[in-house]
Amino acid sequence: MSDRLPGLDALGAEIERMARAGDGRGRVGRHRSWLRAGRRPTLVLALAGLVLVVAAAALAATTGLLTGEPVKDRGVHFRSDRGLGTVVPGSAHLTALRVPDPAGGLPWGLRTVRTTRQMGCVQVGRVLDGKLGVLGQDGAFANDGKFHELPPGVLQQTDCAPLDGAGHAFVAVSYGGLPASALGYGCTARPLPALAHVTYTPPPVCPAADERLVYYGLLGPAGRAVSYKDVGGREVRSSVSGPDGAYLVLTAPTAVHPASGMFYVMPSPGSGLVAVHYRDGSTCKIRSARAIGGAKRCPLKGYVVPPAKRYTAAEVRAPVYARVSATLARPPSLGGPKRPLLRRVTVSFRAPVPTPDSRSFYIVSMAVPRGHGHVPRCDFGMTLGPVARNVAAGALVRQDYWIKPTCRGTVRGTVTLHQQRGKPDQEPYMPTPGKGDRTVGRYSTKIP
Amino acid sequence: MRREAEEVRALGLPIREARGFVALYEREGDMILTFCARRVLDADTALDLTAETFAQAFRGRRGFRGSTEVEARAWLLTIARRQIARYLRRGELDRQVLERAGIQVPRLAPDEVEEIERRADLAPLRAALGAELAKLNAEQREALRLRVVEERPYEEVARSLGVTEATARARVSRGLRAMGAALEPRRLTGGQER
Repeated sequence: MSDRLPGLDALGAEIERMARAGDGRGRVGRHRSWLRAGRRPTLVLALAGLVLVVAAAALAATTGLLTGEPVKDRGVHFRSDRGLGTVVPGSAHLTALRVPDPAGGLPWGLRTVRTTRQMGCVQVGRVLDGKLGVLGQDGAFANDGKFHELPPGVLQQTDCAPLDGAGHAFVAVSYGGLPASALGYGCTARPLPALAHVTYTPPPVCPAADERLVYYGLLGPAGRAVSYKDVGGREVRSSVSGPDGAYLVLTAPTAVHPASGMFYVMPSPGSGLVAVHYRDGSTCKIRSARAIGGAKRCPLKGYVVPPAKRYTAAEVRAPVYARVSATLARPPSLGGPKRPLLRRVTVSFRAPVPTPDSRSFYIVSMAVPRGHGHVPRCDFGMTLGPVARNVAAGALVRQDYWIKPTCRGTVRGTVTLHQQRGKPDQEPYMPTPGKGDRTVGRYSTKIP
Repeated sequence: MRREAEEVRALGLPIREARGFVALYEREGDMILTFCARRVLDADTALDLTAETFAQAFRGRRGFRGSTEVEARAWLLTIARRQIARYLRRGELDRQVLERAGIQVPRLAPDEVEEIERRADLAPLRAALGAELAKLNAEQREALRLRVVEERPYEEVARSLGVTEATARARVSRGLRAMGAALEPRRLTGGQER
């Protein structure tokens, strides 16, 4: 103990004082009656809950599955002119795909929708009486056991991709551990590692028996079928449904393919499935099915490049301004916990050309000095955020970013115009760097 | 050999007794401090968490059923992990547990902070963290920035990025996984929340 730190020794003295004082008090925190006053309300509530559960079960036994409140978007008000947009009325189509669940009960189904920002989307869930929904289990809806309809307009339960030039969406979702409830955020397949300087409330870990490997999406008009391996290792072929080439595959995790919790939205399948079959008779074999997200993706047969005006470098050039606030403030909040005090970086420019839908958008990059090589002091170096909204030519674009008060030095960045040309982006608003982008301008400003 | 010896070495004094508990601190205090420092990357916070861990351990000492030093260490580490997770989740220390125990956590001198950082090997950890961040693509870093620096809920991260909450969660969790791997590869479970 000779090299012991003084701080640890001082703490040791405190610990010893606590221990000796506690020894005198005898049993600390022991023999507390579980029926003491503070616990009684819990007991009463638990008993009341039990009565309700029994009553509900009796009702379900006679009338079938109970229906609860529909699923809602949490906290965010989606707008027609930004992000994913909003669902175009009348565009929702529940495909004919019905896939049994390994544990029985309601089958799984897939619905397609279109949004106001020219996106095609898929929604997956359990099907009851021709309605798509989720089950109150696995942390969803307080495990009430009811069926909750998923309205088409609920975009938080939706996976989207920009439409191609012919109005088709190409989207492949790989979900290595969706709860049997079909609601993605009630529980999680694996816990995230606890990390310094990260405050988050992870959902509980799903019961292993309730995890599903789910692969779904839209292959486009050229897709005919997909093949996958069932839990017994047998190869199974499953035909697509409808002109968008909708597919839905669902299996239970196995020792070979465990529930990893991985989730990817890509333009075409590249993992989980064994093969994609096309109407022209060709087949794309997916060689590395275990390397989720890392496998080579199948070609986008039938994809039509969306029309996009080609601008010259001069046409998109515009001055870009940036300002860093001298004082600290809290980022605006939609509610929830109080935000930390941060420094605002405002980047602004006049849009030289319009971005009318999700297939073109401005990107603001920002390089923040790290500060003495001590990462937690400033975090993240260069970041890149999309201006994911409709912008008219000449409109003032103003984006606020927030950095830690400990950041020092000069903030630098670039504004670029991204247009979807050639292959679609890997994920919505996640462009392939540099491809088809035009520089609008650069900025640089010192942190006060 | 040392590990084998620890496994069979019985606790000299039961930890429910004051002297036994103080001996436990003497034996494991350093290790718990380093354990905490490597997870929160901050010496002062690590000392606070060490104090919390021993305060919680003292409260629950009668629930400890082990009889060897290695069992006592595992028990302490479990408590430490819980306190760290709580701190990371809430972003604040558990002052109540220290107040209940009547513990005043000493303040560290600058040279002590440096010494703790040296012992916990924090500089390479931070460098590894920085390197992992540099490997992430800029969109993932932006998702992380919104989530970690601005502490926005996923709904807001999603809105800001123009993507679904699921995609926002996926981007953040991919980044977190990479950071987790940089901090301690063995802790990476391969999990990723949606």
